[in-house]
Amino acid sequence: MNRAVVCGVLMAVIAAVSVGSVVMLDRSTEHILGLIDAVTEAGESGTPEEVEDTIAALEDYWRGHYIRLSVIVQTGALNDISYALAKLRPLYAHNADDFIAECRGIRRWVELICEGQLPRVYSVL
Amino acid sequence: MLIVFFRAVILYALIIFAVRLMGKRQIGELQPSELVVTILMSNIATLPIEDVSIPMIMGVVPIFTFVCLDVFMSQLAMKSRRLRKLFSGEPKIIISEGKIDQKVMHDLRYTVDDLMESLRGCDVFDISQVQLAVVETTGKITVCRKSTQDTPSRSDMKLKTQDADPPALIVADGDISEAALRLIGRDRRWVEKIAAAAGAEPEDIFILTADKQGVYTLIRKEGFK
Repeated sequence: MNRAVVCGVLMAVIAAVSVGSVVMLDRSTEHILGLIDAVTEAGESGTPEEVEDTIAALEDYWRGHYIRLSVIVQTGALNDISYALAKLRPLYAHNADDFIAECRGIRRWVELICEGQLPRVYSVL
Repeated sequence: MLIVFFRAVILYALIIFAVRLMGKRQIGELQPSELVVTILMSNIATLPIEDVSIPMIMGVVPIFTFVCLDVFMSQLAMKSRRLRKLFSGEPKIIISEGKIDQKVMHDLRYTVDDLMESLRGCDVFDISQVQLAVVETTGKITVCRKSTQDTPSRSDMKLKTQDADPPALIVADGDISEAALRLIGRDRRWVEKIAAAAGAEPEDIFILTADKQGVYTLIRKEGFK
């Protein structure tokens, strides 16, 4: 097959995978931010059962999300979020003030990972 | 450790595919754009191998992007002389009519040592023998000797010869090449006949070369009785 055709197909695949990964990341980030907000709200004004349920839902989603993200994002940043998620239950159990701060921190981390993948001028430069 | 091993295997296959995609020119003489791609490719490929936290796709995507861009650029350059000049530069005449063009040497940042080394690479040890020397876009020098210093050809010596293709490799380590047989206008039965004349089977032949006239050289495998 003509080299130019093979390269055209390859470029199309690369473009499709790149755009697809950004769309996937955007959607899943939106979902995970909703879960983090739910944990924060439960921590601020919910019952311990609500907090437990929301953290479990967040952890469950994160497991799948981690695998998907590890294909396109350095695992170092993802591991930091995993460590922070693991701290949520003990922090809530000890009524630590850090619980909400940790939730906000995780939220920002997730946002930064998503923002880092978007092809904005400052990211490219 | 296993991740590094698997990544190395996958990237090895992908880079071979990428280099093949760039074409044969890539393997021999590098044009400036191809040199850039090759250097970048080798650097990028090592990143996901060395650091397992970097996704492999971060190495694969830029490698194939570079290769595809290089192929597109070379396709465009084939259609436009101006683009070719832009991407690859143009050959420069460094010695003309036996005289060194020092300005060109200066422009190319070519030292006298570089020039002498390149000439020696062309089997020229005396600069006075050179009529014309050109620095190609690959940086290699090609030389045309003065006619008084050049090797005389058969036509110069008025020797009658017939143009003929060199012998083709028909059998390599017992393996018959159908393409080579077609090239010399023979078939498998001819090989069997040649082998039988030598008291062997085709599988027992180590090397068999032959030309269109049927002149052949046969070397049997060692240890054959």
